[in-house]
Amino acid sequence: MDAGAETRTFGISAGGIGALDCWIEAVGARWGASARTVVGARLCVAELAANVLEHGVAKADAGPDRITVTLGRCADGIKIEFVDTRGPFDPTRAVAAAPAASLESADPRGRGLRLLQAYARDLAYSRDGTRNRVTFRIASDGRARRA
Amino acid sequence: MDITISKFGDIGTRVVLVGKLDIAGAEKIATPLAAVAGARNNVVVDMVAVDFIASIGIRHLVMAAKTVARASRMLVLLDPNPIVSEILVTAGLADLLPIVRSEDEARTVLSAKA
Repeated sequence: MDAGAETRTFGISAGGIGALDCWIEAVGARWGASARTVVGARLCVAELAANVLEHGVAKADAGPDRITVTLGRCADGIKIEFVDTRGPFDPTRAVAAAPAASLESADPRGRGLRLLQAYARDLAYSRDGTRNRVTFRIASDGRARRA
Repeated sequence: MDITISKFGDIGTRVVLVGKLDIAGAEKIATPLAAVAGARNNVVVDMVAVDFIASIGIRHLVMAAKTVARASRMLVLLDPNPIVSEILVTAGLADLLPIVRSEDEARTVLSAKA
């Protein structure tokens, strides 16, 4: 991340994730990023954070249970690093649910990964033994790729 | 997130959502939206003032729509802004949660279903 990058750490809770969202919104506004870019950043981080909150298994050897996000400006949008202390989860390998053919057969869950993979560019994952590290970029036009 | 519930003429219930439909917003609407959906009536979810939606919010809309459909009624989304609309379409909901752009269009769609 560049010298102007900003980093903040939040608890893994609904309140912590709410505060994280407000922080991204504030940083994006301060940087003059477009509304679409900021929403794209908020959306992808919200999906990662919700997944950590709902499905991530707390690891005793990972230290304090938390999410750390770094935002950086780049030539084409915003670069984001998302680090969490929960169990391994690689969003680049997970397969998003296919669209339902009907409302009757639709599963209310499972759309977060689809949104993340549509809005995040250059999505990458690594694990350092105790932490998940996801990096990606939100394009300056903030638009999703076609599914 | 604020939620307000009222009648939508004589053909349904209007649910007005205002704010962010994120984790906290979804928690706030879960119980009242489920109650409206279970009332065996058409539902118009006014999305005009929703400025952000994540999958957890989408989940509650889909659950409500499924409940409404089981009673042979319909849930429509009224005029979400372009960014929220794009998120809904990207999530694969274009054919499951109809988006209408005006109250007149909502009446037309719901009347056709009746």
